Amino acid sequence: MPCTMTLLRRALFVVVVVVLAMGATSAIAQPGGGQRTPARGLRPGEEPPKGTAVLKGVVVAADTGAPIRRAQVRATAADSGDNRMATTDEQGRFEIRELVGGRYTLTASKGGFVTLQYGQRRPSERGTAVDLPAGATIEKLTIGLPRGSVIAGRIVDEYGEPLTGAQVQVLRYAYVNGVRQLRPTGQPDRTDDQGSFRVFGLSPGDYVVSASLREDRPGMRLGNPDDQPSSGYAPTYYPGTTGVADAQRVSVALGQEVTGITFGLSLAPLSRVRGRVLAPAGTEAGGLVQAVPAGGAPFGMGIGGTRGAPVAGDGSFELPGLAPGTYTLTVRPQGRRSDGGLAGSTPVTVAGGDLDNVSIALMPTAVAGGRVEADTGAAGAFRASQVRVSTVPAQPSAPQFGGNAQTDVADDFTFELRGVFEPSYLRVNLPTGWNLKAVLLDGQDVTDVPLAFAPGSRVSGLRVVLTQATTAVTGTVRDDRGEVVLDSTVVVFPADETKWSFYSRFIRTARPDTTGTFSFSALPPSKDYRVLAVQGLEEGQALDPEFLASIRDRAERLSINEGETKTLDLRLRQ
Amino acid sequence: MTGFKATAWITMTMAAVVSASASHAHLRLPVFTDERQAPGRDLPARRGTAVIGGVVMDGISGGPIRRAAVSLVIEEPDRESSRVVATTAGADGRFEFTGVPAGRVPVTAARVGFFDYDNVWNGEPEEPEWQPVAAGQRIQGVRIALYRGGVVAGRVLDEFGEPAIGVEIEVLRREPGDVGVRTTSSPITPTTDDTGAFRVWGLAPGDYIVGARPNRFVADASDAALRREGYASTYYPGTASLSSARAVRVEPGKDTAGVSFGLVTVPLSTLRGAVQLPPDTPGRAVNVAVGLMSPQRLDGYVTRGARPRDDGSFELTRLAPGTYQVTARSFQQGGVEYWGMASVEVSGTDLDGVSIPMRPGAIVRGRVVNDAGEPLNVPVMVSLASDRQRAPSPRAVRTYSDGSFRIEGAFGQQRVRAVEGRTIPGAEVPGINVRRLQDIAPATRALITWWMKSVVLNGRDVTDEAIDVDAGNVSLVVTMTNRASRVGGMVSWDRMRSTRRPVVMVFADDDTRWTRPTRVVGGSEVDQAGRFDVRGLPAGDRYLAVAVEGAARAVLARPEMLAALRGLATPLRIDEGGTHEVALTAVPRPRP
Repeated sequence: MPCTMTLLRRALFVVVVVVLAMGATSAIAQPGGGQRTPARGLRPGEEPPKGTAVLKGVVVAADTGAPIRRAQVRATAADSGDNRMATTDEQGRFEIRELVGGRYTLTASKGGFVTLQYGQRRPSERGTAVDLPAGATIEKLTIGLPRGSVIAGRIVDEYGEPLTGAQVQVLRYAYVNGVRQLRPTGQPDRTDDQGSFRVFGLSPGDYVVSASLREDRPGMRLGNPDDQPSSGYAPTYYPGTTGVADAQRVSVALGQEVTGITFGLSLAPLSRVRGRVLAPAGTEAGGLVQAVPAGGAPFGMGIGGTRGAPVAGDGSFELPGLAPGTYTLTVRPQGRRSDGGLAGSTPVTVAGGDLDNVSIALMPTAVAGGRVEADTGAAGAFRASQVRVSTVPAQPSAPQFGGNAQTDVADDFTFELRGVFEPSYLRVNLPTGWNLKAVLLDGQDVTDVPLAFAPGSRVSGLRVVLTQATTAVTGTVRDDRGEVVLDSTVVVFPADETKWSFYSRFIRTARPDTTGTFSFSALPPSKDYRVLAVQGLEEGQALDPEFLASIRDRAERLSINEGETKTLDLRLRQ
Repeated sequence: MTGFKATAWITMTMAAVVSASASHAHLRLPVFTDERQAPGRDLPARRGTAVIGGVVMDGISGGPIRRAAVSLVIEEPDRESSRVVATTAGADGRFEFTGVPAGRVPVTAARVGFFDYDNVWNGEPEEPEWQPVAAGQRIQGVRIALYRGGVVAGRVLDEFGEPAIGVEIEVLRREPGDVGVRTTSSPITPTTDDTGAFRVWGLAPGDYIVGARPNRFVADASDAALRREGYASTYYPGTASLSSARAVRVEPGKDTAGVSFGLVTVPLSTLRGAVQLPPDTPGRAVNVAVGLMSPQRLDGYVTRGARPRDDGSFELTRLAPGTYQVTARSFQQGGVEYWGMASVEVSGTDLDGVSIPMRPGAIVRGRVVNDAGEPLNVPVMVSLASDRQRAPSPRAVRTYSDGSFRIEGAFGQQRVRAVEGRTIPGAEVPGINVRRLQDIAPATRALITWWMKSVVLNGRDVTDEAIDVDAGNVSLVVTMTNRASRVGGMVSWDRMRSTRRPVVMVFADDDTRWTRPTRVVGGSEVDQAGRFDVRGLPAGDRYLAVAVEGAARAVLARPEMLAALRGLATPLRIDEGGTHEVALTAVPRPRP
């Protein structure tokens, strides 16, 4: 057993490093949601706040109106961090007590049904927040869940025989970082001994069905060069293509069960890439070379996914098992070395056959130091331990790459970020009640300017200024007849398209709550906002520059000064 | 802000990776790589001139199995490690390894949904078979049989008779002799689909308990109703009690369908308490875990974990009735480990004020003596093994030159084992996992001359029982003998039928003593002359000896295999320090 553990530990080491990269991707994708309220997840041991407000309602099947028993209903309030759950009784009723009050998102889920928020009309949109005053009780909230659709079929091998243990994942188009991309959705399934799969609980829509087989072996994961087959099953899309462009969409209607999605996995030649990392004189090469497929790694660690191999003492590396495609070979900054470590990357394209003499030039990474302060200059306004400083790469395609360096803030409010590798913004997680006012470097406001972080550079004197001053924009959306419209989304964005980056602080969306009021809190002050109410806006779509360009001329002007509160009365123009 | 999310995500993914890895039989190949004992790690890998080829076939139909992953392990004695080399069998099931260095090489094969009888994934880690290979030798025709696993299928319904969707299915293997059950780690975690149906495949033959673990991941129990009532872990045919569960027989390549049952609703309890924290330790640095104690379960398993508040108080919600063990564990800087445990009876009402004392590990001292009670100046490794793995076990230590030893960081109930520091591969030492021996002495492999005879605590013989080390001041006397019992003899076998030499197992007839750790199951490979040699078994009237063709020793030591071998074995008696000669005729290995 101890030997097994050693092996496992090693496997884990490699896996964890890779996962870090992927984790960074997913974390950075979060702001794409458009909801820019500081996340206040409860820390371990922290109690949820306790109030006396109550939400009551019923969960029913959207088609029949029949009550859904034992559905889970979750109420979350982004501003207070309140988060409570209840299950429905035999009549489908739920009652969530001890809420502190605020704007609550209600989400109902039940196996076999599509998970929806209260007031949600479309699968890729948000619902209507429930405005719950402290101590109040709101009743008769009805959430109708549509029956989930099903895609089922079989995965076979090149002889038409069932492939067991293949992972089947359905994908659909969604906005990520302002770009419409295929993203995994729903629970993946593994084929059984008959090759059968069944993915359920899907919203109606068009899907791409993918299958991959992780021929999992220890050597593969450890990058053992000897432990590699010369061919393997590449991720394949229905009806049997390795190129997603040739994939055939599977359309499912509401509650429909689409069966017979049967296709074979494609065998692909696997390539081996050999090369060397070139470290600057006086430094030592080491670490791990990762091959990240272009366009991300939806298939994880298997063939067609991210692969890794250690760098030998002489700087050489050997990455076997790469399916045809383009990859970025990356060496990430290592450890917590005071100089930040070395990093580098190079693209490679393989199409069967081996690739030799690939070199990756390593460069020293940057170190960025500074301090966090309150705009009043007052000491002790917040605790240093409440703040963490991180970098966010300026290019959304980059995250697999350097990732976001992050660090705690020392007791004297100074920080030092190491291993920064590419142009990045500086960001902080905020203590409750505090907002980011500015990031300053040599007196310049660099809050929304990517810092270059040249290789080996040492940036010091960064000032991260936090403020308790906040802004508030609230309002209503009315139609041509003057009626309040709940089913709408308000988009606030800067007129200046250079600020339309995927990580812009200035692009935000909000939906009217049950009282018909939408609200934005802590929008950064700016004289040059545009604001528009639209319908049918997909989650994340507001970060799409094309979309913003298409609505810019129709949008109203909006100016917000520091500390200002504004009320808007918007018209929904059809 | 993003940092927190990323961290949580990583933790979840790691957990997933651990379980995925642990389920793979091939991860259990012995790669004796360890930082502290691999001085020559940077040496180039050995290349040789031998060739090993063969075919992977279906053990029942005899047909080829395509695209099986075939691995062999090459020892790297200079590096004191091993490496795994793998290939994929072709469409005709054939594989070939070239450039294999001389040595002893085990070959194994795996394919999802199949199991190798030598490397059954739901058993203990097995030792693959080591095959001698000479330089330049061409070994062809290695036949590796894989067996298509059996299937258990059925449906899980809720209390309204509607499908229970997304419920995790648990498959527990029942050990022969009805001593208990053990978790089966299958390549996937099966869950019910939207019709409540499940299908667990790739199971090795045997008797299984099938259960459903609903709401395993309901961590949030902010709702009072959720805290009061819920589904119990329910076992086929619909009971919350493991002892009332009905076993399902699984045969290779066959479907056992209709294993359907309804979930049982039970009152749930909340347990509140406090950890008595180590000095200068915030509660968040402590891991609290709660595990349901069941006499049937042979594996320690954790139901849920919690992170105490900084004052040490914690809350565990949604506990079904039963007896639980709540443990708290933390590592201090400098490597001192604190651990504590409380046993709690939960019966549907809430419990407050559960206190878990945390202490640094106790020190276990002792001395190793010979039969005459004199200090033994031969190095001996002394280790503690937690009874049923409830408490953490400290590292094994080596005796000082005066025979004394000192183990730090011991908790709870532990069994004491001692083994001579120089060992020989291929000689099974009763009660000690072979792999442990390999660990202890990878380089200096010599014949064992000293065997553990007894462990005495305060005048009481605790050789076959766990000792409570928490009380502290544990001082043991471990007696080693160089007059160990010895069972030896000649084995005859059909050399035309089996090219592999048989393995001899000598074991007590009493099946209640077969479950590990056991001292009464010993084994030996047969040498070229046909001799076997099993040493160190304690004296007893009712032992059985059997020689088996074509099997690895560790597989034969499995209780169900011993049960199958019982009727084929020769009875014998072992005397204290006695030497016993038995002539055996090898039997074919029992097949599924």
